[in-house]
Amino acid sequence: MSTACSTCHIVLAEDNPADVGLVRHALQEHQVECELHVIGDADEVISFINDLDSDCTIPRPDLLLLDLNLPKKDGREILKHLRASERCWQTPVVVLSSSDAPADHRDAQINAAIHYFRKPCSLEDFLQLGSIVRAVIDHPSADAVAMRDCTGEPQGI
Amino acid sequence: MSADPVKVQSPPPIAEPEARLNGQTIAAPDASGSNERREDLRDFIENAAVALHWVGEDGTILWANKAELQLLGYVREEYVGRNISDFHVDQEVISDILRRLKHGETLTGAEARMRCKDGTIRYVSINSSVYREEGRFIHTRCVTLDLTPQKQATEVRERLASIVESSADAIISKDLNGIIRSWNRGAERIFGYTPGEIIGRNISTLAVPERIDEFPDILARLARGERVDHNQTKRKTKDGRVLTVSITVSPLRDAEGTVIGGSEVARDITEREVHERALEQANAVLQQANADLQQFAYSASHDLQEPLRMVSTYSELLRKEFGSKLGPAADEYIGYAIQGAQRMQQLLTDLRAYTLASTSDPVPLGDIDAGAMLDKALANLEAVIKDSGASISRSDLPHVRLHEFQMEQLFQNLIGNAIRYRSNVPPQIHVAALQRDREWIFSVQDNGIGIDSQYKEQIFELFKRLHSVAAYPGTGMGLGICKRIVERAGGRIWVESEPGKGSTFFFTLPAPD
Repeated sequence: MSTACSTCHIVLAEDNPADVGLVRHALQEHQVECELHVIGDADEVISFINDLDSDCTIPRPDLLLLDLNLPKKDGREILKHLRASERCWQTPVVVLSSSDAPADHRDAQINAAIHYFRKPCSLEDFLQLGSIVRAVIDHPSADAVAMRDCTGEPQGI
Repeated sequence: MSADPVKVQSPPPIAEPEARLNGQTIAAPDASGSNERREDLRDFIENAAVALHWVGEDGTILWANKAELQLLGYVREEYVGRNISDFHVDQEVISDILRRLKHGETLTGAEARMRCKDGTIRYVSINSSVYREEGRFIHTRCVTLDLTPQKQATEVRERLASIVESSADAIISKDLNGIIRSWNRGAERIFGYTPGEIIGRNISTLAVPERIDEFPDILARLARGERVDHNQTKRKTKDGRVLTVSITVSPLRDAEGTVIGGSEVARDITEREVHERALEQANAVLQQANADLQQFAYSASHDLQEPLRMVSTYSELLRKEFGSKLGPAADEYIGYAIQGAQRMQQLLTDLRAYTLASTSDPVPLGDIDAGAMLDKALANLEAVIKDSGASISRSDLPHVRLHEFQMEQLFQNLIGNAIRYRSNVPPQIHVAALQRDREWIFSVQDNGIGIDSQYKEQIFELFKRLHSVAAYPGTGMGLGICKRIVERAGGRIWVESEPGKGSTFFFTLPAPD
């Protein structure tokens, strides 16, 4: 399956280098081969989306991994901006969050994120993110996939 | 009829020269004069509606008429022949009366207190003078008037007046024009005016300018016979201070029932108001502090989670990537780090559950199915149930009014405990509920190690544990969370247990309407 992802582009909007490290491990663990663009600032994510709309030579990302709690702007704003963009309105999104607050779920749902991934405490559970990413990339019809909760914890929420 | 010196029984002779009274003796009536007339007079005196008696110089009662005996309730034998001072309450008074009579005074309205046969005391007014012959004291001529009813009425009046006077509240009467007619000490103390300064002036003297309109309104209501109850308003004192007072104004009526004015009772509640406000403020501060604390606990449990996640995942990553490459000591250290992080994780989860139990609305709107929540709890506990070989039975469970996650948590914590604190046989747990009055009593019964009765209360306190974490893992918050949930919902939680035989945890929840 790894060949299918050989050229895929994933944007990781995440400011915590430790989490960036864990995401890398998770992708590696599940043999997701991709170009990972890490952006640690909400404004930069927004300008990246704008750049995508104005410059068609920039490859369109296959997936956005979005931490909801980025500095400067709320992750929800990024989601809205993304859904309003010309080239990325259908880009699948996996929301990463340390919160299990119902409001966060709701916001993610409204803006059609595919997954709500609650960052778990256990390494094993965190590495499951890799399999989620793999599944999204292998079946990229974002709109068709109903959003599922995935906390990475065995008992769910 | 009798000349017996002691037992004088005869009615008094008509005062004729022949009637001799000598010390303690009394002569029989003289036979001179018209018999018919004498009998008439004797009858008149004996049956007169006024109490009459004679007393000798030494105080011996020589004679008393029916009215006198009736007044005091004695029969003749119990009264006549005894010393008058035996019937007086105040010895110095009767001594003085007798002394003055001996000195030739005529007494009018001498007040005294006499003791009746039934023990009651009557207030009397005595009019008396001495009949003498040739200067010799023969007997007194006493008329006893009963003052008791008037005295009692006066006493009641004085008592009422003293209540009014001593009241801490201002009690003021006024006529329908608002002119102040009476003013008690309470009024003087509260408003500063003496009766002399204020009686005759208008009640609006006490008005604060912005409430001057109240006064005609109150007078109009009084004139219609209405009361004004506990009206909170402002009044001004003599020295210009503005007080908060609670006033009650009632109409005063004359004997015909016509309203002639009003009585106003005013209580100074300025201080009370100040205290109430201080209390409200203190309460608000306390509530804020409590809310802050809850928020702090919630945030702390949430925010601590993030750094903890770093510690735990990277400890695990360390083990995954470098385990067995760093040597056995390093593996051991990494193991402790991971264990510590896991335990902290449990604590934070429970702390969050606890603060959530404290802050969520106590009673949700809808009813929930306790049975379904038990299913959820059992699903969460699936692994430990399987590992321990526990069997769990249940009776019918009702619908109750509680948040779903709280009901689930109650079952999960109680059943989790029942499994954790098992004996060496597989746990058998029974969940039941029965309705009593307006509440459901739930029970979770196990066959575990049981709890010594001395710890029955303590186990519900936060972080109170009876065992080491190594022997029985846990945060010490599970039962604290249960208690919090149940009590917030208006119920109680307790345990009945016998060490070695198992425990039954009970909790109550109000039955839905």
